[in-house]
Amino acid sequence: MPDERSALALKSALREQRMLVLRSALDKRMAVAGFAIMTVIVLLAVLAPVLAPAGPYEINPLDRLLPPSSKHWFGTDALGRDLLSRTLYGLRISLAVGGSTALASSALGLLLGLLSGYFSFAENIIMRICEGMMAIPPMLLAIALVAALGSTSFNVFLSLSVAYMPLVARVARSSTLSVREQTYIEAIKSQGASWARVLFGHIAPNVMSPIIVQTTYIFASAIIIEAALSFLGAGVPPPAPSLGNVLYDAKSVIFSAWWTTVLPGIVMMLTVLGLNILGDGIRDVMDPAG
Amino acid sequence: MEPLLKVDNLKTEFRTLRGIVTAVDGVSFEVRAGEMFGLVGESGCGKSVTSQSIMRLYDEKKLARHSGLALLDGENLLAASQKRMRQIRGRDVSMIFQDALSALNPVFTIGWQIKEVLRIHQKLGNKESREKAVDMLRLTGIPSPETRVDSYPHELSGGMRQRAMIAMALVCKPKLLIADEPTTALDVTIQAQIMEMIADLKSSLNMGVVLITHDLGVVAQTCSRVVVMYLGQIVEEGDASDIFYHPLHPYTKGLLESSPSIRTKRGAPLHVIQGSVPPLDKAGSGCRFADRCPYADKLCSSVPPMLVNAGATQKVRCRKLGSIESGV
Amino acid sequence: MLNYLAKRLIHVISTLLILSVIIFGVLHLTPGDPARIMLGPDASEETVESLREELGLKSSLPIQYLRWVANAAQGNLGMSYFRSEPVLSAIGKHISPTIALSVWSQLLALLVAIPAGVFAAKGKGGKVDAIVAAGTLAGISLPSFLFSLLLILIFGVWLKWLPVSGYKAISGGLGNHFRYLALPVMSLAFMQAAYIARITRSTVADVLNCEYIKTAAAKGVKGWEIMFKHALRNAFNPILTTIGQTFGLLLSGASVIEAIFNIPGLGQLMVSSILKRDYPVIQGVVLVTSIIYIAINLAVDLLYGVVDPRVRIAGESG
Repeated sequence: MPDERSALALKSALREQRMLVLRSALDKRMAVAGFAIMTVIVLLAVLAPVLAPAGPYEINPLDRLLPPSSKHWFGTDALGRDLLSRTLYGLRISLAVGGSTALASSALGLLLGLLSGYFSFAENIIMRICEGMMAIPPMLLAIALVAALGSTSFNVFLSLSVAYMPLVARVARSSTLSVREQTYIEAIKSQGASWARVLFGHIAPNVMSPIIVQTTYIFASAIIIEAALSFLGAGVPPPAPSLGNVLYDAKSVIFSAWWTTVLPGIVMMLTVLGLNILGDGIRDVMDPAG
Repeated sequence: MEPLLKVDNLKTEFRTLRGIVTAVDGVSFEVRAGEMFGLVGESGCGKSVTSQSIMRLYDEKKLARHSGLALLDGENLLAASQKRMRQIRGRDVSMIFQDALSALNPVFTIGWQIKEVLRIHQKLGNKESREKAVDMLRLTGIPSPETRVDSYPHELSGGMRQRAMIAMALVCKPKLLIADEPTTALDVTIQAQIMEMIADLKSSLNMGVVLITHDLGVVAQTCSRVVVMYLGQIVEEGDASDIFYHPLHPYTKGLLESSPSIRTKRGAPLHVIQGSVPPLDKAGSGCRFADRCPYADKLCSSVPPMLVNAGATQKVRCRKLGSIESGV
Repeated sequence: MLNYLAKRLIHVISTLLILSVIIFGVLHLTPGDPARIMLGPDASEETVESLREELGLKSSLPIQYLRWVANAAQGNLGMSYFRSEPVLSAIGKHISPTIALSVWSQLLALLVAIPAGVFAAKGKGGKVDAIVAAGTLAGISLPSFLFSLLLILIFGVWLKWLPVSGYKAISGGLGNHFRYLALPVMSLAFMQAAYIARITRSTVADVLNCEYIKTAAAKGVKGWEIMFKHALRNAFNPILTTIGQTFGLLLSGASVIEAIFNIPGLGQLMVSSILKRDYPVIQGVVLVTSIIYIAINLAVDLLYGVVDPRVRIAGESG
């Protein structure tokens, strides 16, 4: 760079600075908005037993397919169950399945990614298997697993976790590969630290940020797939009020009761939107350049 | 003789969040047909902005505002419509850039890129334009142009790429060529070859050339007249030989002293640029070079110097001229 | 180029092998005995035993695996438990609606997403950009099955413009084909378009900062030609990658959409097979879908070189 107060450099510096200020403010707003939406949604789910006006399985044949009213905010479904209650309890199931899937697949993927990024013999085995698994779209892999294991909530969680694990492993591996080359890792190694200490004590914390972002996206995606599985008969078994089941039930009465689709649908979309915004926000805050 | 290009009081302002920054501030010069004209200064002094303003390459809706005149054969480019500008660009005025590797599109062959100019401006068919492209590549000294025409930019050496870009710029035989640091990225030996080729083509096409460079040495060898810019203003202008042998402005002197080893100057700390520089329209009421100038006194940073005649061909923007001359 | 091709093919074959182990493994996770499932709980132990023999279930697992792979490589994916036909023929009967649905969705997504991404990049930070950003966020957050339900409500229930169930093959006339596929295709295309528009916007925005864009302008090239020829061509590879990667979403999303719109495609075959625990069919559908996915991504890899000459060189030397 020339040692000159240059008009152009000034111009681009100003522009860049403006963009950065704008961006980081916007990113923070995004992250905060995502966090706020998710806080509300998690609270709704946790407090479902308190908030729900009725039990999620309570059938009232006389109150079938009632439109939204002050008594039933979301209306009722074909069996006369209160939809708000089913939606709130559905949030619980969706968040539980999605969240535990995100955590389990991230933890497992992180472990495998770290190992395969650090040991080249592990890399060959683990990454080849992951590539094979990633050749199957996650939803199909989950369907196959659920079909084989039988459809229970736990098996849905298990299958989704297995299906998402390779995605995390791949991200963790590539981050590990680059962190491994850093000078400070060399320094720690030269002091005689054990591989476990280097890998889990020093490399792992430095590959966390992309993993956290990935975890958020998996959370969102797992909620979607969990619900989609219900439409294929491979989801959380009915009559459990998962969002997928609520929407599946709604499909058969879509011609007469729009609210059964729209209102739970909005709740589901807000949940996924909140997670996606949160993920985008975290990503941009952690990596302003990207 | 009527000049080919007459730039008069050109002013280019950029809109930024913190206000308007004047990148080019009242620049005037003339280029005649068949003449090579030098526009000199360190990077960022406004010389590239000047050329791109003349070409109207900035986004005028969001970024840039121009005033003044830029007359090409009497037609004011700054007032032309965008449609008219598209006719002029590449046909009447062409540009070549410093780094041909990034200035050529990597996914098209150089032949395709040359033919595109002909397709736009001369509506030539494929076969004809290919022949013309090959001829032009031959003219710029590319060996076996019949095969080279189908090469991609990354398949050529740096010097070849620069020749290909020159071929692309000149294929419509423009009246004016703006060469923005055309040899900076090249080896010294190739630099000389390229400059020689540009000079030859200039004569054979009777084309005006604006040579933008930071190297006064190159200018002294090739140009007839020179403008030296600093922070968007002309600080000195005149015949190349006069400026080379008798530089008057302290900035020109500095440039010349560092000319063979101009890179040593570049290592200076970055914070000078990044620091709290006032927006340029408020930039010191006085001389813009004052706080770097070894001759500056208190008055320099408050009294704006004017561009005044000095010597037979030169003009200088410095109020300390007399005292510098006498060595005080 | 040949070298590159060979390398890619070896990679694909190794992926296929691992894939086959996984799919075979999943089937054998199944609790219970295939022969028992086929014959039902009322069958006698002897009949079950003889069927077991017949199906080759008495050999060791590695032998069974090898036999299965050898058969699969010859196009024999076994017999369906409940349909009296080979798995492959069942898949053959159901594949064309799925392909039509996926291809049209992909095309619609490209048609919308690429211009949207390019214009967003051109007016970065402006109104168009904001609208496209909002649209892509909505597309990524709105699951295709949920979107399809909303479309059914709007176009089927309220406006009554379009059929909400069934499928008409292209051979029965384009008009009907598209009428029946309109809603399913829109449902699937939205999310796909969102991903493609996102990547198009960000790569084109990067490309627009390149010097050669300025060169093109200095040559007198028109604005739209700069955007769609010079810039888009250079942004193609990341876009292709995204298309390849998200094609998996499209294929699996298609099964759900088929179930919702009652389209007799692979998805519906899958649903009925899951309900009846017809494992060979499930296995076959997953295998065939994955092979399509792998083939698409192989095609994408090969297209890189066609789009960007620099990749050819890298492929040859590296």
